[in-house]
Amino acid sequence: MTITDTRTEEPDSAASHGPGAASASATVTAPPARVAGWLVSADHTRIGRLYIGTSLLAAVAVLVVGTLVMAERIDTGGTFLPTDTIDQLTTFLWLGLAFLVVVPLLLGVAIAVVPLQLGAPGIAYPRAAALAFWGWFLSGVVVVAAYLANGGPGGGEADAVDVFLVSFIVLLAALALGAACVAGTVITQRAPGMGLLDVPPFSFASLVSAGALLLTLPVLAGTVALLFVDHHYARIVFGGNQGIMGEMGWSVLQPQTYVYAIPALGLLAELFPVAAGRRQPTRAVVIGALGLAGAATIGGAMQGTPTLDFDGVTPIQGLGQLVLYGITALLPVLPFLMVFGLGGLALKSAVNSGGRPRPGAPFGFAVAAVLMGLVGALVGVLTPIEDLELLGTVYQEAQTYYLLFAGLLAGMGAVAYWGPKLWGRQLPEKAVGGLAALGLLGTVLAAFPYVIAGFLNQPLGAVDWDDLDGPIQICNVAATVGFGLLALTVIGFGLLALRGFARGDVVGDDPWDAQTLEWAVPSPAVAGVVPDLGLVRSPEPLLDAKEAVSAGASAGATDGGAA
Amino acid sequence: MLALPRAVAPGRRHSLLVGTSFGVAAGAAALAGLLGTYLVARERELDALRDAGETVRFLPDGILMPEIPANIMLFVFLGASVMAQWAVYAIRRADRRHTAMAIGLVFLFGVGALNLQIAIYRELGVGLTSSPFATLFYGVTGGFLIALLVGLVLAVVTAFRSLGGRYAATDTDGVAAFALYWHFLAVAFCAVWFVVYVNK
Repeated sequence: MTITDTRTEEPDSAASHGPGAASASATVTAPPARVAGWLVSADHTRIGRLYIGTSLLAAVAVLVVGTLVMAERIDTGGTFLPTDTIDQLTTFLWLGLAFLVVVPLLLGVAIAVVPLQLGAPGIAYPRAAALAFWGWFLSGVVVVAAYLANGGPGGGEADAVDVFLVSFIVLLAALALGAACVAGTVITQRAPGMGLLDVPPFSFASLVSAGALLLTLPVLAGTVALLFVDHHYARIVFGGNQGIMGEMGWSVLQPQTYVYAIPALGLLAELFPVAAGRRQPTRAVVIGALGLAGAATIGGAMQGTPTLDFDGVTPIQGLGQLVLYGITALLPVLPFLMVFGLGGLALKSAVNSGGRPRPGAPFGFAVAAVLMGLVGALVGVLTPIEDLELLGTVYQEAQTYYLLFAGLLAGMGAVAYWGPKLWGRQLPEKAVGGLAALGLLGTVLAAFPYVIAGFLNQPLGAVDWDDLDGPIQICNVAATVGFGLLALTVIGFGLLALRGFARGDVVGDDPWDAQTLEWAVPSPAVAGVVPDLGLVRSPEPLLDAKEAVSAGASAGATDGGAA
Repeated sequence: MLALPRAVAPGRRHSLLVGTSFGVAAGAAALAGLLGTYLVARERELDALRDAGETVRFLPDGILMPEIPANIMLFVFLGASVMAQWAVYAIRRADRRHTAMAIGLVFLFGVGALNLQIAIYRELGVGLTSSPFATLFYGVTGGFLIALLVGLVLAVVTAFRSLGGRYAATDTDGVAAFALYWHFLAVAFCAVWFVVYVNK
């Protein structure tokens, strides 16, 4: 294998070359100054790393706020936080988790990894990708500043609320722009011979996710634009600052939350065959399952969780409700089940043929993420049933946390898996595995108690209400511990990544013995270096190349023996 | 002075056209958000009037929607859409003169639409804060005006690039992307026209 093309920027450190990849004949242009290089970089690996770093930092802040908000629910009154800020911090928790943490984290991984997986020289629109990051980052800072200035939904400072609304529109536009870059890359930048259905599962899931984000985030932006016009000029349509979250809430509730978890499915579908050390059986069905997850896009049209209530409705209306229920509550369960089931087939096939699966530590994160996503989808099956009276309770919050934390766990798993390609160094497997277990425990504790508390009628987002004793109090204690554990997981992962990617073990170009093109270029990868494996003839081009090399070696040995 | 590093080589497989398609899809979704929110808020307002036993009418008393300029705008956008497609037709035949003429006409049609929108605002004569209808009306049509201004900028850029010889019969993506955007504007205005000016 040879690697040939032009680098656009100098890599951060010397590339290490494993046995799977040959030398790089590259023309290196003069790099910009170190800090300035990051500020103006159009290298997708740098942009992706910027997204990853800042969204993990944001995750720490959001989860600390989450822990405090959950702790406030243990008892009435402002124990840890001023009572007049709790509602705002609750909306900060929900919106921040979605738009400052999970979406940008997974988008960042996609921007860094997808072009490498496709054998592309770079992302489709590199300057747009840089603009998307800086637009998201700066508007995110302004959003946080607006919250600090008593803005945000329900905020008491009118100007700060206006600033929040405008910056949130910019934030959504930047995220949609980043999604367009990812989708454009998958559609226009694939290596010669690679069909759309041949792209690796993570890239395909990123395409589905990007498409869903492109079709739903602008809907939210349009709504927020009208909220701004009303809030800034009139305050006669949406009820001023108190009505804002009512119009935006659908963006963090079922079915929209499924959109944010789609890349988690792609990550696990990517890792199952790598762990099994063989090709994914029925791969087309796996790709179909990832496509099916895109049905969650309907969230933008629904703008809320549809209800299932047959009292006093005509048969046609009832049928309509059933169809919507099927699409928004039942259908999302399928992709999670299918990815687990079909991935299990790959492992089973490896075991049956005497092989020994090698699930690395990132696999633990991916399994934890999809498991939590599956539980979240199952929880969502009951939400729309009106007779259960779960709408408007923390049961809905539980579902949101399951899916958003699934995205967070998947993001950390993806960083651990592709870290060697992006930084040239590997994180210690035991520590990563431990953090995956801690993250899983944290998610269960943060979300499951609210499933129970939802049946006990704890109101959605409320801190002060009458019925706080008994089981509900225990649920709120458990949720507080869960949020705390998740904050510790992210802090631990961040510290591990800082140390591991700076001074960890230098690894070869293909440390996982993987099957896709990104592992055929030197680590750390930079934009402009593409693998030269000839025409792509299957969804596992690197595995093809390895098999060809070993077949050639066997034939050579046989010939030598015969001679 | 800092300068951006050289970007990777231009993408394959119609990157510009694909990117514009994504932009159009996002624009359509944003407009859907505006119109959806408009309709929901309108319905809420009408329900409140019904409950109060008042006349169920979203437009404030004494206000008449200027329908004639709105209808003319509809035809202006349909005409601009045809002209935009003419530009694609011309560039595919390497007819640069007619390409530039068609793009210029699209620009003029766009300026005409802008003028008509301003005429509607003047004729309507209501302040943005005067009623829920006014707030929502200005919000939705203002959002559409931003999309129209983007279309005008796109027309100028495409015209200059076309005159500069950037496009050829074998490379029509830029003009096709421009046309796609104006087709989107035409369809988007049809939706705005029906929801805001006809349905009121």
